[in-house]
Amino acid sequence: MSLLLLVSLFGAEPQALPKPDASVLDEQNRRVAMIKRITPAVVAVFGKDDAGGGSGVLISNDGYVLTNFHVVRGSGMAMKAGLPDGKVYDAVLVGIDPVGDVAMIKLLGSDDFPVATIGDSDRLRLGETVYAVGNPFLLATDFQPTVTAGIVSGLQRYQYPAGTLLEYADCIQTDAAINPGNSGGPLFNDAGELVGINGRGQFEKRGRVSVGVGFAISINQIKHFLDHLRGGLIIDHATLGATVTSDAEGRVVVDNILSSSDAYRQGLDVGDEIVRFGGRAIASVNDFKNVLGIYPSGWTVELTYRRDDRKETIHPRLVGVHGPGQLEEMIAPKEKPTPDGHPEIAPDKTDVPEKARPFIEEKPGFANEYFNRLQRERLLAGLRQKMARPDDTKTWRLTLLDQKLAEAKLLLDDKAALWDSPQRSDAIEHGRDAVRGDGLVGLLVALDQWRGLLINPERWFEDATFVGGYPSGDGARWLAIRTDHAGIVTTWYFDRHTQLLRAFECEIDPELAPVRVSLDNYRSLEGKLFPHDWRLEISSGPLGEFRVKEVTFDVK
Amino acid sequence: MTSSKQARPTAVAWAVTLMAVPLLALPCSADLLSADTDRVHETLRAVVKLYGAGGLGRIESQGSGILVSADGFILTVLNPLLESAKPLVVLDNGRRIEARIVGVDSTRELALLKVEAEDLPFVQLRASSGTRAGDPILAYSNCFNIAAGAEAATVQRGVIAAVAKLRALQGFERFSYPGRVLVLDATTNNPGAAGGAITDPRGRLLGMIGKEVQSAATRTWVHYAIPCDTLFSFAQPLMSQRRDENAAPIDVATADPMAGSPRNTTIARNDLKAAGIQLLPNLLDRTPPFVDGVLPGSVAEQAGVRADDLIVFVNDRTIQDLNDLQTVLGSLEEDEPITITLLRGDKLLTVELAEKAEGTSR
Repeated sequence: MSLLLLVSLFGAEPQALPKPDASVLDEQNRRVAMIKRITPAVVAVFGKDDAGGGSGVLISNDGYVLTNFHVVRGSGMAMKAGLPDGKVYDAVLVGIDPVGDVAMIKLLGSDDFPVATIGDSDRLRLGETVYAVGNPFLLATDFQPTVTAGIVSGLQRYQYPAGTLLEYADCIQTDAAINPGNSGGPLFNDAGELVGINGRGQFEKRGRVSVGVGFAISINQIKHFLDHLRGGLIIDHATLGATVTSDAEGRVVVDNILSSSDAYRQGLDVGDEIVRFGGRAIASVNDFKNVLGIYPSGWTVELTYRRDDRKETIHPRLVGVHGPGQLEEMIAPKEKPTPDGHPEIAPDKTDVPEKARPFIEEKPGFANEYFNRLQRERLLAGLRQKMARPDDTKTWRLTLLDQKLAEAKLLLDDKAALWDSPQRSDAIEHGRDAVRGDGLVGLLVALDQWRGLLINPERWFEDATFVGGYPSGDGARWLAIRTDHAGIVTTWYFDRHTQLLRAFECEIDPELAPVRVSLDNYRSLEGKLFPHDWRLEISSGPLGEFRVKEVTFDVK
Repeated sequence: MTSSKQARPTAVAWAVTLMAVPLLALPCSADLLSADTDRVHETLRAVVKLYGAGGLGRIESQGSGILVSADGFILTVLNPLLESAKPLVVLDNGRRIEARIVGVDSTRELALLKVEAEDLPFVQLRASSGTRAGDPILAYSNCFNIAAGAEAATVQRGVIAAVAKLRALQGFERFSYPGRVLVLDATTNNPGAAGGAITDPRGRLLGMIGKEVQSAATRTWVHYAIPCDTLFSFAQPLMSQRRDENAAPIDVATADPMAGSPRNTTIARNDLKAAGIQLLPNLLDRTPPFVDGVLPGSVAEQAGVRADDLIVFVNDRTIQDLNDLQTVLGSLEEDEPITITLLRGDKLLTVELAEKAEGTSR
């Protein structure tokens, strides 16, 4: 009908129009259907008092949304968000990753939000089609997002922090138009899977509009930070405690290393060539920075180095780039005029809508303590329900077998702790000075912490912090709680599905590697569960793997 | 809605829609948005990163180039970065090689470089491409110097919007490219992108991303490419000559009858160019009016103008930068003689350009 109309207007013959190839139309129909499927989860995020805003994407039915840190910075704890269904929702800040420019907010008011399917950004290929969806120039006054298409223009891009602390490591470059307001919005692949969060354009020398060069934070990087974000944290990025440089032959070598770093403790030294890091071959300094930039502090990442003709693989723990409180200070709103003349001031708490208030708890060091508490309570409930817990009147007596079936005896009560095996024996008495050292003593202190946790988890969790998700070593992700009792900092790792305690690490001496106890093979004990396989590592190295032969909780 | 009167207001909109239809029917590109990722990787290997002189203000010290032979001929644009004695070429694998300039075309602002290497990846230069408006393209360049070392350059996709003449400005100067260029709908001509490759989706070379210029009409950035037939006719003779490695670069434009043609003489630089004076490229807000070179046998040479002279007065009017020069020259009468006062070292001297170049039109 419309074609006929045109023909009459232009006086051309109908047969002058080539018929579009059916496959082209099929492809277009497929794309149209895909866009229709993915747009409902795209969020228009609004700043305070119409002061800017951006985009976001829903990743859970209960309303968790990924966006950019720079979109919510300055909005305070509460904001408004519009969905393509035409409704405006109250939202609260959950967690932030200021260096990675990622933030999580939670929309309130539904448990049935549409969500984006999360994809695998490591599988993107140069040239493949991607779509940026969002709210450029804040056009979406009706919350209908704008869709722009492009290709993957570059992968594993490292973009230096441009005068800010925002660092885009290992990011995706696309020529899909990304303009101001697209920030925080999703980048989808051609299958409609979320592969990145659009965050940055190349605006140098060309003004603040798209010049065909935009950058998205890869979703695989964000996956490393998701549990941290959900836990209401302010997350820091990591350093190895070593810097690298390219030598004359183009090898990437360590040119500086802190003697206090875990990498140094595990053997890495100045002059060593970095061969692989985080599962990737390292051929340039940018390669190295790309890997480093995608992990939160506290993660262990596999690293292979070459010294002379020998290759070694280690698993160093990364530490935070910023000191305690430093990051928080850097991102705090400052009461000084910004370049455009508007004073940036701390948001007024009285502006927070009634509906959002129950979801906001402010606490120094946290983006939103409410969400940290939620995670702690969840793990605490699991601990209470599932794990066998002797009360404090009882003495633990265990017989453990090592792999050569030699017996080790362990005794734990509120007076003392004792380990006795054919190889090594030691004991501590409680109430004496804090123990330092790299021997068995550290292990006994750690085991005593464990006993304390099981006897009274509520008390142990009182001042605890949920510290996010960490790799288990076998591809899974554990959730971690950090406690501090009598100056001993312990990190407890829980299985995210079973909520069972899978490992704990006790920092006995800051100069030494932590004592680590890994737990597995949970079996029934007193109607609940108790781990029967233990792997013990003290500061000087592995002590061995043990199986519980016998366990009794005696009355004193 | 069958009446054409009622429908008229929407006719333009419909016409735009209609224009898109034949594009979708092209057999070579079932989907304009998709690119063959293997082919993309292959083409990327032939795109090199260039580094040289510059780095001040708008002058880029970094650019892109296309390997067009396995033994190391590289096509790029004639950029200030090539004023470096030996521009540095970084290959796709991160290998760094110094290049020499084989030849340039100062009219079309093209350059052919050579690195001494073998078995390099390259794209084939083609005498013609049969390119038409509506054809899909991929653009490869190291725009914004995003990629370093062995990192892959940027790839973008777009469509040839038009094959047309270019009326543009480069800085404050008119950029009059003789011949047609491929006008692109994608944002390809970013800083550092000039010299990059434009291919069809199958990886065949269609053109080379041109220098950064702005539309003379709208002052917006123009995204365009030099078509491959021009590239071929410039580079092929130079490549087949196999000139001595130590030979000075040849400027094919000085032997070109089109050089200094009336079309190019409406602006100051080319007015003086017609008299044999070459000035610095006008890229800064206040580019000093230094004489960059004097053509042998020209009016200027006969008058005694030398390279590195600084123009301080023209017909007794003060000249502080190339913009002043343009204003003053533009205000002269058609047949008014030009008297230039030059600063050479610490001496002032005055020369008269006895006659203006033939064929000047204003």
